[in-house]
Amino acid sequence: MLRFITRRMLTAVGVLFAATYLFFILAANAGDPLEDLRASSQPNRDELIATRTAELHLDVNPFIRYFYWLAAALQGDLGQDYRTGQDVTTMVGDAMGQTIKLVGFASVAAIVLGVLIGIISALRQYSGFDYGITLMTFLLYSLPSFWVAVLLKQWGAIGFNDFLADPVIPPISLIIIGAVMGIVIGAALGGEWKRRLMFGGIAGVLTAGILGIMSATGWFTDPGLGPVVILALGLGVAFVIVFLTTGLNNRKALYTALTVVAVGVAAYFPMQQAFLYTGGPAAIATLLGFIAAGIGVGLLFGGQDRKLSARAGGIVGGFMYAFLWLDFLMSQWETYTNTSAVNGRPIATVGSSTPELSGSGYWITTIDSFTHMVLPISALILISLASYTRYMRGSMLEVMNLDYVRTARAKGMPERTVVMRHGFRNALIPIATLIPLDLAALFGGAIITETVFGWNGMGRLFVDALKTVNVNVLMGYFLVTGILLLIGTIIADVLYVILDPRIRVES
Amino acid sequence: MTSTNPNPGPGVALTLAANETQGLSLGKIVWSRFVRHKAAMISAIVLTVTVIVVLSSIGVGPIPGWWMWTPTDIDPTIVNGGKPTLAWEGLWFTLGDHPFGQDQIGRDVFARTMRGAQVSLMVMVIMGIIATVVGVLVGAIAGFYRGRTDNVLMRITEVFIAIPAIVVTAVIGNKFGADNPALFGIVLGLLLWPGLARLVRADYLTLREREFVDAARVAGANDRTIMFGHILPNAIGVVIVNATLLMATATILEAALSFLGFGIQPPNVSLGQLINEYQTSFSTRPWLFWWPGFFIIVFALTINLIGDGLRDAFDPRQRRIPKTKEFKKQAVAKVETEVAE
Repeated sequence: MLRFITRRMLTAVGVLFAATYLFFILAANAGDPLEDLRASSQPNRDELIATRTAELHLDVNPFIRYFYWLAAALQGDLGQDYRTGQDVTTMVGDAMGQTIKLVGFASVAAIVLGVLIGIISALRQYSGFDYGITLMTFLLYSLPSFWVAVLLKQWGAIGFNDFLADPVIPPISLIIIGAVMGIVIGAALGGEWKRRLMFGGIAGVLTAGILGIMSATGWFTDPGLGPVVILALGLGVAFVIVFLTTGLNNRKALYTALTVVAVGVAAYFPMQQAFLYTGGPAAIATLLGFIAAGIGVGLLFGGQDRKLSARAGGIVGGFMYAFLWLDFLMSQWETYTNTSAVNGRPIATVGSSTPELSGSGYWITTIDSFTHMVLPISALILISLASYTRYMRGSMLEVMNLDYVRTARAKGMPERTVVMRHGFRNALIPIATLIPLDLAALFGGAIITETVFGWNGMGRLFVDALKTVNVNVLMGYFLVTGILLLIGTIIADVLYVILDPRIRVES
Repeated sequence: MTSTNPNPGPGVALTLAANETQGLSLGKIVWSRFVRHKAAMISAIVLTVTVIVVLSSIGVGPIPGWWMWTPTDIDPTIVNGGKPTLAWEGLWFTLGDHPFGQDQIGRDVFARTMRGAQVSLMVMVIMGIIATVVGVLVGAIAGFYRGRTDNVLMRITEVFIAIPAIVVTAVIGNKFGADNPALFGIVLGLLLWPGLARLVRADYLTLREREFVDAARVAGANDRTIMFGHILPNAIGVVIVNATLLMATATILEAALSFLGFGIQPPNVSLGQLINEYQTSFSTRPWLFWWPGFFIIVFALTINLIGDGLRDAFDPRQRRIPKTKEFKKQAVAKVETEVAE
């Protein structure tokens, strides 16, 4: 194994050299970096041209000029942007931070959602739900991203902002939303018609009712959860998590989860004060504290399966913190929308933050970056959701038809155990080997989404540099993304071998 | 990957498949399965009709079409504020003078969209053919000869995966001018073969160990005959399916590149370039933006669905062929009798 990895690393260096060389030649021929100077009417034009030529070694043939770049790069100097004189290293670093924030969030959401929908779709194969999802994924898969992005910008942002100016949902819309929700849930459940109709109906009425109450009480202008809703959400999460991980028959796990919910709700009022002083690293520390408390409760309940209880407790603890955090964030919403910079139109279409609001505290800036991220993230999720759903569905179908799943059923295992332990875990293997590659590609940024939404990430950096033939910046970008891509490929291969012992490495 | 699983699931589909495929050639089996795939069949019909309309309406090259405007004609009278005149009247629709509307200077959006669709189709087809040929060649040689050849070819493939297409099209635009869709298609084709090459290689690696290859060798066939005469027909499913999906990707990629300004450039039009050109007038003339996008979706969606149908038809192990209710009942009845026995 070690030999395999070492060998792959060594060839990767060779591949990287070849790729950067080829890329350099291409980038150097993509245009004329002196274009702006040639067109200028400044008196010292010829001087400027001579300076830039000397600085960028433009008088040297690109096939040799590459080695100037390589020699500097090997000493850690990636050069400067010729227009601004900024270091490429800092430019790439900044852009990468922005991209990770945007694309990272979107990728995680797309993976979680895609895996979930894919599994349900596979378990309900050939049902109306399955066909609906299949058709939808194909449609999403075929949508041009720039088209979706422009549409979201024009309708999502403007439409939602108009709605927020007078946030009342008309009864007709309530009925339609409720009906759609009911049909989707009823279709996703499966089983007998009676059961599906009942649960679909309940879900539909609940959705319409909750939205109606939210609309009537002006929730959209001053949102919040409050301890009662947090308790209800916490109980829901506790039951779902325990059901999925251990089954409701495991009483100790169930009691653990319920205790954690109680602790979380009890922490509501103290946390209102604590949140005022937390932000950034402290928020993450508190989150870890909640997870640790959940694990602790699980261990205290003891018993043979205390590890399972601890796991359920930890997950529920994380969720409880998320609810508390979200509640406090929502309480700041009204302050945010009423600031003069936002002026009642919170959903932004361009950029990654409102400049006037920088330095106005953790909560306001967090809301600010959320309102800026919501559109690009929706666009990215819509686009990448489809392939994960497809993959997960295919992989789950294949696994569920295998002999060991039939054996598990024949042994009398409950359906939950068959699906979660025998099916789901094995179906994740192909997805797990996809993810390193996707994450590596993620650092390259979403060129189109970033361009349309004016997000200063890697993709935008790249396109802007290409337009001005900024070879140093282009090379900096390519070096980072290329290295990550090659590492991603190696990790994917290694992961495949680790997860699936049937595959052996030839070294 | 399905290829790691030599036991394609239990009973039902296999028994049925065996019954329905007895004594038929591969082509006939695939065709009958494809026809049963409703979404794929509908897509094939929609795509054919769209392509006929796109090609015939404004004509191709010197051949004139049946539509009254050409993409470059300027109609000095702006009808109805430039709004689309396409309308439903009772059971049928009327086209009017400008069914998709007019742009700021009075050009007919229908004619321009058709021209854009022609260019996009051309890029897509050229790209698909070139990428498929290169991908099959590289994959076949790497998988058949293995060892050092394979190693070198796969590393070259990795280099090609790493190079972003947009840089290459920028170079083409700078050096040769990007108003030539054929050149654009060729270049994209020379960039997008790696995915297919990897899949073909994987297939060749397993197929070359099969008995029919030994038999062919004993019979005196040379490497080229074995590679393309004996192994390729067995790998044809992978090739056809992925070539189709590649074309769908190409449609969207071409549109995206043109949208960013690194693809087809004016005066030539493509669907992505039209969207780019009309992006700023979204709030005043949204139809300029709608129709090119609609055609991109039609092309990408129908080709993707056809590819999915082909995959089901070539690879019954996935068993995603929509069955009629009777078909399902039959299967259940069969399993039940088998269990009872």
